[in-house]
Amino acid sequence: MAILGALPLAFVGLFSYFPQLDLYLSGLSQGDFLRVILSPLSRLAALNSLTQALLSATLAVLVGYPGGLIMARYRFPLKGAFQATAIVPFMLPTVVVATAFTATYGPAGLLGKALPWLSFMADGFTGIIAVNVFYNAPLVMFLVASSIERVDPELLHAASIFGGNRLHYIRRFLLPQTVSGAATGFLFTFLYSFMAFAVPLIVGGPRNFTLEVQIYTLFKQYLDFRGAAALALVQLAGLGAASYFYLSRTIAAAERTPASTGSAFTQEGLSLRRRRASTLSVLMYMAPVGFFLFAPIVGLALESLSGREGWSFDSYARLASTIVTTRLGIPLQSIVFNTVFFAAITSALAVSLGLISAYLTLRVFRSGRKYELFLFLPMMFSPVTTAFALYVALESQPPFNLIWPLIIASHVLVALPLTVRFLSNSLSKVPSELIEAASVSGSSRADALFRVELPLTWAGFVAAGAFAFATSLGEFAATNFLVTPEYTTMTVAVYQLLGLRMTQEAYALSTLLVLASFAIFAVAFRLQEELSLG
Amino acid sequence: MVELTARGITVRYGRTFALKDVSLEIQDGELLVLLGPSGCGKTTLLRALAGLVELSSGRVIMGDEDVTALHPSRRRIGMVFQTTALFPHLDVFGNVSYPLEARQEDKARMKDKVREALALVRLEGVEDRFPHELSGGQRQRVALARALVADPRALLLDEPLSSVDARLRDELRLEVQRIQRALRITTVYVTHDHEEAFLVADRIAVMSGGRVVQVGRPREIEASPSTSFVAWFIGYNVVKDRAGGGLIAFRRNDAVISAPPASGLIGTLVSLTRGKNDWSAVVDVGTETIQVTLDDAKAGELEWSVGKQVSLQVQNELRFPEPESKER
Amino acid sequence: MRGWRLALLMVGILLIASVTGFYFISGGPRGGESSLTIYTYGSLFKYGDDPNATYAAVFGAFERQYNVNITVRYFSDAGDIIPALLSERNSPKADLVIGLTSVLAAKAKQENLLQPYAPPSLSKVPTYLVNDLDPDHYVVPYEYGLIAIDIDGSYINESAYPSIGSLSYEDLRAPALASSLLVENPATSSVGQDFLLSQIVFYQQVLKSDWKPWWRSVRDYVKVVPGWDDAFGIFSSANTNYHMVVSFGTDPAYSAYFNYTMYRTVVPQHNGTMYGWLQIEGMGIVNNAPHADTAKAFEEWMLSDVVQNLIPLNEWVYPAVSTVQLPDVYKFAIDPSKVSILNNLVPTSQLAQNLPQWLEEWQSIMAGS
Repeated sequence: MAILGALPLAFVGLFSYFPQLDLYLSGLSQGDFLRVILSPLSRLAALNSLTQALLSATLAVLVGYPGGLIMARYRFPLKGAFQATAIVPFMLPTVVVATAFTATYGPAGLLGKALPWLSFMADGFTGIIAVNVFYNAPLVMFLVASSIERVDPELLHAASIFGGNRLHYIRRFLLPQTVSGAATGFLFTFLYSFMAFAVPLIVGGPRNFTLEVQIYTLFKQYLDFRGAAALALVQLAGLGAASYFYLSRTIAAAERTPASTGSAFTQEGLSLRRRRASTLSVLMYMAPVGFFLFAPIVGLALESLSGREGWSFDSYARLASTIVTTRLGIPLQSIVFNTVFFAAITSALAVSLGLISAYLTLRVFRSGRKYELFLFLPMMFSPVTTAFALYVALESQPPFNLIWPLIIASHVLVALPLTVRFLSNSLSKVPSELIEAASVSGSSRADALFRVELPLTWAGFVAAGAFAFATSLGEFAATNFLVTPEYTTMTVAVYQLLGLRMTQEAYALSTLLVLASFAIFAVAFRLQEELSLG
Repeated sequence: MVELTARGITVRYGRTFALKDVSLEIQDGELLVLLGPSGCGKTTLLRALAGLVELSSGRVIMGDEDVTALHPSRRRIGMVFQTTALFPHLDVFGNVSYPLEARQEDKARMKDKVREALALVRLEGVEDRFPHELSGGQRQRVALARALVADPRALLLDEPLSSVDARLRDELRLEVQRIQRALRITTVYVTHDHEEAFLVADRIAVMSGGRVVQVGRPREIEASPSTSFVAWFIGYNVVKDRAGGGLIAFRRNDAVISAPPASGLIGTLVSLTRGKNDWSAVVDVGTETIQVTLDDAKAGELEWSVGKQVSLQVQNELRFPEPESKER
Repeated sequence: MRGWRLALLMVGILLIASVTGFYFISGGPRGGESSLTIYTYGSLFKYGDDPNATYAAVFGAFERQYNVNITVRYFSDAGDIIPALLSERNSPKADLVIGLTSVLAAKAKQENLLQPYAPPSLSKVPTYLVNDLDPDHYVVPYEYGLIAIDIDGSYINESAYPSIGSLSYEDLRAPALASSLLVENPATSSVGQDFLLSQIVFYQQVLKSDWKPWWRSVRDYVKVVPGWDDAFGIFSSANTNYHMVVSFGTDPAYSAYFNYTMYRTVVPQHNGTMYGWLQIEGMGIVNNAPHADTAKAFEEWMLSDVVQNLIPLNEWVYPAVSTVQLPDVYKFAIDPSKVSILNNLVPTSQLAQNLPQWLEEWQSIMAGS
């Protein structure tokens, strides 16, 4: 058990803490810290980060929360498609999203042409928030959904017999369970938005630069490595402390709400005939939100189809041609293979390590919170320094000099906090009595895990796996830093195509990325539905 | 089948004690009931015997084997939970065969044993159904079948009837009794319902505040409760002694109501209700409320006195000292 | 064996099998000892028709001729090379660095990361190029680009802007034009940095005035993006509002060669003279390099006719050696000999020294001060 528990710790320790600390602690002095803290630019950057993060997180939760409730409680046609659409933004490179937004909401865009006031969505501070919400509201949805236990219809009946109505039940049982999901969604969105690099710059312009940008600038342009490291440490300390307090309070609060011992998995089906009020309110939510999530993707697709002379599939044709292969130095199918391979391995690793962590935190350790925080902290390491630190610390040691293990490692590091959360949520919803019943019936801990807990937590697996996969597909910064030509992934290829001025092809590739992943996720979520109907 | 012994078991959660130095011996083949109000520690004791609770001190012994350090899965016990705790993702066959799979029984024997167990609880033909498709009573039978299928050395039941409809409760209770007697399996049964306890038990252990207050055959306890608490809990009326200190306890059918100004306690006859086989009169004597059981004739006499003053004569009363703070 | 254990085992086997398979596909560990390690930027020689062929011509040919094994380590950005060198300072793994611009070169020198060397063929490189990069020869030029502004002629042309052909900085201050301009962020992009330097040097040395008001007047209009890829990606997208982008003077040649949309390109003018900024790329030998002699040979090779002739069509900038014949398509590019070189007006060391302060001032201005 202890050896197993050490695995995720070792992984994160080796790939994240060790390189970072190595980099940070080499020769930083007090003067360095003072210098960066006192700089007005640093303070402005911090303020920008904070306002963008707070606003994005709040809006993302407001937008995503109802979606999460809907996803957990109802079955409806095209649900898998909706979920897949929701997760797709996670994978898109920033410039693609920015362009997609412009293509949709910009003055010359799909909608912008008819409704010019929409341009606030694609530009400036408001544009930054819009894009952040686009990226993160789906994550909030999934986190909230995963924190709700499936409703036991008997409990509902019992509640109504005792005088409460459905609303009462919702208020007393359902909603408290979702607090932890919403809180986690808030935290993740906050962190992602706080540490955003490209989104604020492309969409908002130089005055919206975040702390991460400032670290980057110190690192690359001022070549002030110590300053960059100092600032990164300050950011880490601040975010780390805030996250710790936030996490302990919200998770503790959530753990105090009673878990009902639902013995059924049924979700309600929706139909206009039978449950008019519910169905209508669901539609009222899904229409605008679904639209918000889907429109930019349509914009992107259209972007890829527009040539100089109007619509054409030329860009796709060229993408498949040998010209692209030669100029990129690697065939398209290899790029696709690399991408899928990395994503699959990342998913498998992130889910396994996440499962170990979640299980240990929930079932074994008393101070599980510290364990989870250890795994969580790397989220707050500056991405700019992460890839570089990884390279410097490990590149020369075999087998890492093959580079591709490092790429996978960096992907897993990014995905791990997410998978741990999803699996944690799922595992914690298994009534402890079932595990006790299993124990008393002769199951060892492992046996109970595999035969009772895991089968009841498929939803968590799929969500964890899907997000890990999506994260890997969309990871750009670290991959771009580490990659060698033969390991190019699709997101890196998009930027390379842009560099080669094959702009339409770049957007075409992005659209393909979107469509392919959409298909994969739609299937995965449909499967999840099937499995959980038990 | 073995004796089950708890020796000096203490369970602490922070500064509160759920069990304080509890020792109890359950004989081989007997059905012992742990009876008490909620919070008295009966469920904790049961779970301690199962190995689901960490002991601050004490030992659990099965037969001549000290199982204190043994994981629940190795103790060879069967347990029925208050909420049945059936695995929702498995059908009835899957649930009942679960302990057998854990012991890696071979497939053919498994089928037979499952069928036997289901027959034992008189539930056949539902092997393909899922828990959420069964009624409460059916679920409890499945839980029982699961507990028994792997020939456990002891059977632990945690308020097994509480989630069952009142009407089915008797039926199920009789089933449990029948099965237990047929198998002669050492059984510990937890309940807060004293009537249920009396009907089912070979012996009863009354618990309160984390301790065992009295152990004995139902008759014995009924006839001589050892403290005012036990008396009250099993249905005695307990009143303060008007003359001198202390408490007086008497059974419900050990009181006679008559019109004043006869001697005894004076009070108001609040109500007269018909029960299954007799009548129940409630008399308010100021500081307490007394329940008296009457036959039809007596009830008839008192019909006109409802709402009026009556006096109460008590016989076969037991005396107890003033209780300490925790107990009533 | 019980069901789930079996499943787990199979998944494990599958995982191991695929990982091993990939390992073999990727060719296993690099064979052989390297006898020349080069650190360079990711797009070196990648913009031609056939990058693999170009790679063979540049590196393969050298390997055969000198019987060595070259390892090229690509960095996503030349700026990442310096930190890597710093971390290896005590036991250098790299022998040669290719792709240091003036500012990076200054930093490398300051940190004693390089050793000076002047290859024999350096005499074929114009002196001003050598001096604008590094007069002390720690870093020597192999190519240079010209910062210019690409214009989409279908939106911005003589009919709306008659004097567009002689675009000046002053012209760009007009909101109509400024709001059509994409500029790279000097805090995050080397092209952006060069543009800023060019603007600062122009205002300080040519106009003898303050450079900051220009930014104050355009800051609410221009679109500043993190990098060149982003800028060009937006510039060339279908529904964009931005029809001018800071880029390179050789872009029209590139478009002509590959049959892409032709854009016009201009260098800001003043009183009839074009004032341009050169982005000079240089190479340098690492201090205490394990294979310094081979590195020196490679530097000489980079200045040879063979390699220099490959630069125009693979790097799409001008070769350092002036005697190289430019391909035909370069008639569409700006002729650097017609441009007044701003780099000549200020020594690089001074630029490198002032840059941090200028960057800070720029950032403050753009943030509103």
